[in-house]
Order: sequence, then structure tokens, then C-alpha cells
Amino acid sequence: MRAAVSLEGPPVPVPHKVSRAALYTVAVIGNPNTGKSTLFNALTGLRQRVGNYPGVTVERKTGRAQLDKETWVELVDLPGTYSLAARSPDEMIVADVLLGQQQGARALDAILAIADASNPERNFYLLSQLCELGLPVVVALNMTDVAEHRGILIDTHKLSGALGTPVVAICAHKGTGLEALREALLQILLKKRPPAAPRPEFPAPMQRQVAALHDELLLHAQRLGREVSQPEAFRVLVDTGGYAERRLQNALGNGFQQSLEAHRGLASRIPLPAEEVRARYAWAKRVLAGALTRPAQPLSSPSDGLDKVLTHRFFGTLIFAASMLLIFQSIFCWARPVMDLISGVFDALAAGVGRHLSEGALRSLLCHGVLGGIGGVLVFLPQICILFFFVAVLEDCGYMARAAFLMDRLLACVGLSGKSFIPMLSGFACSVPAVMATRTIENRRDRLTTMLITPLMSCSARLPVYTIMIGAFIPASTYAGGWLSLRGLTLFALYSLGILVAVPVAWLLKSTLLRGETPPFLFELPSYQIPDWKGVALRVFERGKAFVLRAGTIILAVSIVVWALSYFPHPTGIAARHAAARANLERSGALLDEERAAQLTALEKAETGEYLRQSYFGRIGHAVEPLFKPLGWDWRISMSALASFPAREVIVATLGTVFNVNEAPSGQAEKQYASLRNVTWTGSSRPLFTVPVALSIMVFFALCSQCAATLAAIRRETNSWRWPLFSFSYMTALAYLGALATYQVGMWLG
Amino acid sequence: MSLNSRKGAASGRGPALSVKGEMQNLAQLKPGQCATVTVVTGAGSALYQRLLEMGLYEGAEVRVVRFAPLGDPMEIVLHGYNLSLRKAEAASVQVEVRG
Repeated sequence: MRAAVSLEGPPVPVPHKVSRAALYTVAVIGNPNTGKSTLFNALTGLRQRVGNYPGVTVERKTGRAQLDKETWVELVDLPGTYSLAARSPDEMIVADVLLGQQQGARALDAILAIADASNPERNFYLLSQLCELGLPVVVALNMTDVAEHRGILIDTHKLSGALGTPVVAICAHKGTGLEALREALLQILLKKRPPAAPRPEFPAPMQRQVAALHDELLLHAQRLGREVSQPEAFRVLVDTGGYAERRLQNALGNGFQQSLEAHRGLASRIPLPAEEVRARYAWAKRVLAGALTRPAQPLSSPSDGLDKVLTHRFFGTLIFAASMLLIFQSIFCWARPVMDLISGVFDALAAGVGRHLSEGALRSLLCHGVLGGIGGVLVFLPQICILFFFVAVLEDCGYMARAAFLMDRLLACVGLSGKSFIPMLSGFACSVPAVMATRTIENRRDRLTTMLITPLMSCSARLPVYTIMIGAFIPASTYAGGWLSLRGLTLFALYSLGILVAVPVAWLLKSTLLRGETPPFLFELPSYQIPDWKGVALRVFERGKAFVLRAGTIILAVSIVVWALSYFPHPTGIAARHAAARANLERSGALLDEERAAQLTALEKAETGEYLRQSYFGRIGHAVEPLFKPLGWDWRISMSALASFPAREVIVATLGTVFNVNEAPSGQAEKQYASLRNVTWTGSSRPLFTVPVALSIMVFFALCSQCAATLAAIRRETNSWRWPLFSFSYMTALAYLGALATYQVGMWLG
Repeated sequence: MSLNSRKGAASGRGPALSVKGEMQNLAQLKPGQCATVTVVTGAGSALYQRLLEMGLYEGAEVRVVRFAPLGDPMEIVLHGYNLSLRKAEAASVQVEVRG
């Protein structure tokens, strides 16, 4: 657990592998969907580092780029945003980094602003805010090719003159214009001059109040422990109820609030955001006036035609369903062979290690604890890579926004948005990549809610539990002339259970713990594009690596702890007794060779079972039996459920060991487990596994949180232990209550 | 649910008689209709500020492209880009229909 804990805390800037020290720090910022990540990747290549900003869930991504022989810059990739006005701590990160206030981040030397050439006005809204920060700015005008297709031409030379700062036309995904961009960046870092363009024309009273508020805040410098800059004062004044205001109010109290209201009253008679927006869009028009040529009639692009089909009521829905089916199918089925291969390799490794070591705790630890644990981490990689490949492609080509557009209405019912759809769907294959996919949801509360309900979807690891239990205990009766089978209905009910429970849970979370102002759900539907394949590969690699390194350590630790609990105390008496029995068997000549081999295997199985029953888990099972008895479980089922904490499917093997189910030829597992029907309560002839008990076990596993990997993924995504603990507690409580109700109702019905 | 949302879609397209020059809110327009933003209501809220920042300020010209298959959200074009917004959000944007 140690390794996992040491990952907490603020990210300390660690020197990169590049030996030369970076001389400058430059922030890369722009609207969402402007190709910012593509540009960042093109400039930095693999020299990237990903972490988290302290206290928030925003990813901190930095990378090194070389400008010339001896000049390197550290590029900070800021989250895409339309404005510096912030409503939440997550949104405030951008402004804080730009203003040099983010703890642990270095002060900036310049800003690299990326703008979409096909949609300059709205992109220049943010640019106008960036130009006021007092930092040198280089403007990268991206997607000039898309703009040209639409007949939009921008004269970068004239634009550069109007802005008083360098403007470079680029096509990030083709890699054109990058040399000129590096050169412009180098020049501006040497000159250190902020843009010379006049500021937007805010009304005089508004400007006076910004200055007055700024002066007032400077007087509070000691109480605040920092000097508030003029751009921050501007945000405090304009953004009513914004995060900049709330933060100062918390530090300075009510007196400040009253004075702020007074400043606002004097600044303008109309709402200040309206004044800001009017002035900034007018600025954008003015700056672009001489440089921008637009066709009189907007040209329709191939993208518009494509959208007619892809968002069509019938065809759009059909294509959407087909593409979701493809994603689902690929994580559910296509990942399987690779996963089996990984498991196979680790089983073989464990067997190999087993042959070279003598019987004992070390061998068991290496084979079952360590190798089992590492295998248990790597086995998720195929699913993670496949899902992230699709997510990256869908995001890059612009379809992700359409998916949110199509599905929003459905998820709005439970207070979520269309962006939660893909993570939740992926949850039916595996919660681990699904939880990691929630990072495409910008709003923090929506992201957390999705992360907390996604594990309720019946993932592929529940399927073995369901199949074994249904096959062994649910009668194969059919109804409606053979069309409906009781077994099929049971499986369907278990899958539906997760969804039916997720709806009220999501609603409850959104109206209690994660309550808050409904965030505006405005998003751009960007033009369709060919994905940037290099970037896609990089993201898949990054996600896989992050999972193995960060979540993997936790999963490994859990698997070792669980191994120890099921191995120790390992009394020697059992070994001695079985050795004697084995020797007897081998000496007896009355048996045929095959029979003897079969009996030896059975004996070995019995020995493993006895060890497990005698282990700490066995003891814990006895201790918690009263707690689980209302669910119809005895101590052996209870301990099997507890021992399956690392992963649900483990319960199948554990039940097999605890109850000495004999090896079966593959595909016959259900029949073998049917022998469990003969198991009785200890010291009684009452059968243990009845239909209500089997149902109660299945309901428990449908709702419980027995998956260390999911919890580790939630830990990694939220950067805190709070949410995985919460997820575990609420799901376990639900599972217990669900199983209790199932068993009690089942018994009552007979 | 799908029944409800269909009804929602129909009402979102507004009454059939949306006359040129008439004041309406954005959610009431039909696909293909063009309008000029007259005022955004709800000053002080996050939504108000975000709508303005995305370019829905007084005088901005918008065109409704379509409604999502389930009736909500809607897609509009403004300043040469496509924006998706929920009808509940669009309802706070007052517009004057241009035809």
C-alpha cells in the first residue's frame, strides 16, 4: 500500500529525462475542439508528463519542446475553455495557472493561444481575455484548411498587425506551420512583449470600478497572503457568484461582499457579463475586420451533409446504436482472446515458478499472491486500450459531441447529461475502463455521479457468477411454448437490476451529496475530421500506462493481502495427515492407475479446501456468519464472498475450493457445481444451497463492489480515497439489503 | 418516455404560425428558422454568462438546425459554428424571428 500512498500530494515537478534544463514555461490554451492536444503532441512528442493539480480533478499535462539548439520550453497543456470566467475550482485552474497563482506551477513566460480559423469570432473572445494578462502571446491559427473549404480566409500578416503580436497559420494534424510557430515563440520569448493591440472598450465606469476594486484588494494583500492582479479583480467584479468571488469572500468575509456589491452597482446599469461580452465581441470584430474574408453566403461543408444523416431521427439513431454495439462488442468479446492469453501466460509463469521452488509460504506468495496480482492488473489492459482507442477516435473525429447530443434527453431524466452515456455503456463490459472514460465529462459532479453508478452495470466479471449459479440452481423450466426460459429470465432480471438501481442512486446523489447548480450544458458540435492517429495512439498508451502504474500498485497490494488471509496460519497437521493418506493410496495395489490418479487429485483438492477453511478467512467467515445468516449464507459462503474482494469472478473458484467441488472438463462447470445442491448446513441435514440462497448470492454480486480494480481506478481518477470508500460502502450496503430482501421474500414465497 | 419526448419535440418546434418580426424564445423556433437575439434573461446565473460568452448576445444572428431525435437538446448555428443547447436553456434567449 505504501507505493500507492506516496503518489498522493501535490505533483512535485520532476526533471524530465531531457538533460538540458528548460529555460521557459509556456501555457498552451484555447477553446475546446481547436486541435490543442494535437498541437501539444506535435510540439512535444513523447516528452510528456501527466499528473493532477492538487485539490481538484483536473489533469496536469506538461511536455518539453525544443525551439532551437539551446532553447527548450516547458509547455503546460491547459484544459480547453471558452472563457476565463470560472464557476468551480476545476475551471479556476486555467486562470490560476495563467496568472501564476497555481501552487507548484511555475510562473509563465508566454502564452501559446490556439484558435480555430473556421470560427474566429468566438475563439477571439477568449483571446481578448488572454491579451490582457500582461504576458507575451503567440496566436496559432489552426485548421486553416477547414476554414478555406468554407471560404473563410484570414490574412495572418494583417491580423498580426492588428493584434500587435505574432499570428501563425498552422494545420496541427498535418504538421504544417510548426516551424514558423517555433520561430515566433522563440522571438516573443526573447522580446518579452505583451500584445500591443488596444484593449476592448469597456464602459468608463466599469473600468474605474475594476481599478478601484483592484486597489482595495491590494490593501488586503496581507490577509490574503498574495497580491491580487488586475485581471483577477476584473473576474471578481464581473462574475457574479463565480469562483473568483467566492474564494475572496471566504477569505475576507461579509464586509468585502458589501463593498463588492457597491462596486458592481457603480460599474454599470446592465449586468456586467453583458457589458464584457459586448465589448469583447466588438473587439474581435474590430481586430478581424481588415484580415478576415468571408463568403457572402456561408458555404455548406461536407460536415453539414454528414450531420444530416448522423443526427437524423431514424438513421442517426440507428448508426449510433450500431457504433455503440461495436464498442460494446469489442470490449466484451474481442478483448477476450488477449485477456485469456495474458491469464494463460501468468498461469504458466506461476506453474514454472512453482516447479522451481519448494513447497511453502514463499512459493504460494509468488504464485498466487504476486503473479496472480500482476496478472490481475495486466488482464484489464486489452479492455482499457480498446475502449480508449474508440473514445479517442470518437472525440477526435467529432462524433463524441453528436453522441452526447443524441443521448442527452435520456440521461437528463436522472440529472446527468449525454456525456455520461459512453462510460455507462462501457460499464456493462468492464467498470475499470468505464470509470477511466468518465474524464470526458467536464462537469465534476456529473463525472463523480457517473463514476459512482457505472459499477452498478453488470460487467463481464459478473457473468461467470451468474452462469454458474443459474446453471446449478435455477430449474430449466420454460414458458410460452419454449420461448421464455426461467434461466434466461433470471439472467435478464439480474442485468436489469443494475440499471433499475442506478436510476434512483444517480438521482439521489445529484440531489444530496453532489447537489449544485445545474451546469449549463452548452457544447459545440465541431466539424467532422479525420482523427489524428498519432495522438490516438499516444492517448491509448498514456491511459494504459497510468492504469498499470497507479491503479496497478493498489490491485497488487490487495491481492497480496487477500492471499495472506487465505494462506495463513497454514497448520502443519493438515499436511501431515494428507501426506499419510497419499502414501497409503500410492502403496495400495488394488486400484487401477487412472482411479488412483483421480483419487490423488481429489485428495489434493480436499487438502486445499481444508487449508482454506482453516485460514484467517475461514475464521473471519465464522465470525461474520451471524451477519450473513439472514441472507441464507453460512460461514463458507460468507468467507468466499469476502475473499472475492479483488474480483467478483474469484467467488466461483473459491466456492469450488471451499466445498471441494471436483475438477470438471471445461464447459461442464455448471453440472459440477450442481453437486453443491447436496451440501448441507454444518451439523444438520438442511440443504444449504436452495433457490433463494442462489438468488441472494447473485443479487449480492450484481450490486456489490467486490472489485479492487474498479476501486483503484476511482481512486486514481478522483485523486482521493474518499470516493472509492464511498463507492464501496454504498454498493456493499445496497448489495446486502438486496440479497436480504431476495432471500427473505424467496423463503416467504417458499 | 419516448412518447413524452416526442410531444416535447413538437412543442419545441413552436406554433406553426411564427410570424416574421415576432418575439419568441429560441426554444420555440422551428428548424431552418433564422432569428436575431434580443435579450437573454436570468442575469447573475452561470447559464446567463455562458450563453453570452458563447455568442448569444443582443444582436447576434442564429439559425435553428435541428432538434435531437428525443426532442431535446437543439442545435443552432451562430457566428459560423454549431452549438448544442437544451431547450430549457434556449428558453431564456429571447429572439426576433427573421424568417
